[in-house]
Amino acid sequence: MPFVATAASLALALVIVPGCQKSNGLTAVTGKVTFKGSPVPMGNAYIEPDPSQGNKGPQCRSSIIKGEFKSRPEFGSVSGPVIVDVEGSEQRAEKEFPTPLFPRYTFKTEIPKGKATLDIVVPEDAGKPKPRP
Amino acid sequence: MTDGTSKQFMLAETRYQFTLESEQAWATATAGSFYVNRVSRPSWAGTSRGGTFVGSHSTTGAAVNGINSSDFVDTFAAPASGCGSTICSGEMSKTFGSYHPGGCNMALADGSVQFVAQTIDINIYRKFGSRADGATGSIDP
Repeated sequence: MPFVATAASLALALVIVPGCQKSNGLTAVTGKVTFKGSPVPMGNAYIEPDPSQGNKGPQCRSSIIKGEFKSRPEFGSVSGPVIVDVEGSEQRAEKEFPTPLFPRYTFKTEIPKGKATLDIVVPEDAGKPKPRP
Repeated sequence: MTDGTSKQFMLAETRYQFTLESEQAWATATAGSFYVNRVSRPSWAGTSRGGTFVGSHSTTGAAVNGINSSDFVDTFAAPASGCGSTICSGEMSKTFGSYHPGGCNMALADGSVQFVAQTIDINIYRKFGSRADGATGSIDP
């Protein structure tokens, strides 16, 4: 009977361990991105540690799709002071260049530990679209 | 190369090279262009590439965005789904990555090849893309 119990707990441990990943200390970030009241169709949101505040760590980069972004599990943001960069474009038909809606918009903020929501309203005066290259 | 050869990326893996006109690349030279203090600067050892779809790039790769940081390949069926200049050239010329988890191999100017973790501090990583910015720090995890 003790053997059975051991075997059972071992089996349980084997089941549990894979789901018990070591946390990398990064914060999962999700958010909505709007410009002039509308969702930004496509783009990128970059969240980086602010080195001027002594913060360090990897860049968190997420695609903006239909006005929303969500960091991937392994690519969360550092917590603390960060610099956020936002790129946004119109949704274009196949094989066409997407036209940027605004120049890269940058601001600073703080990200809490664990989990965060970062809704971004790109100011209307963020600039005129850059010409197509 | 005032930072020293052990503080300089020369070559790295990528999985973000996709164009209709040119071949798929496994590894490209170089981390020539660099991005320090949030300012993009000209390349010292880039190669020119151009294409009607991708615009033209002064480098094939640069240490700008985090290793493996792009989900572009997974998210979009590139390049057919509207691989425009803003999107594609950003993925191809500013991001290194690999299909092995956790990071990618980078060749340094001292001749060594090191596996660099994708969790490396982004600003140390960028300094390894520049040959004369007083690079300090380590790429070791």
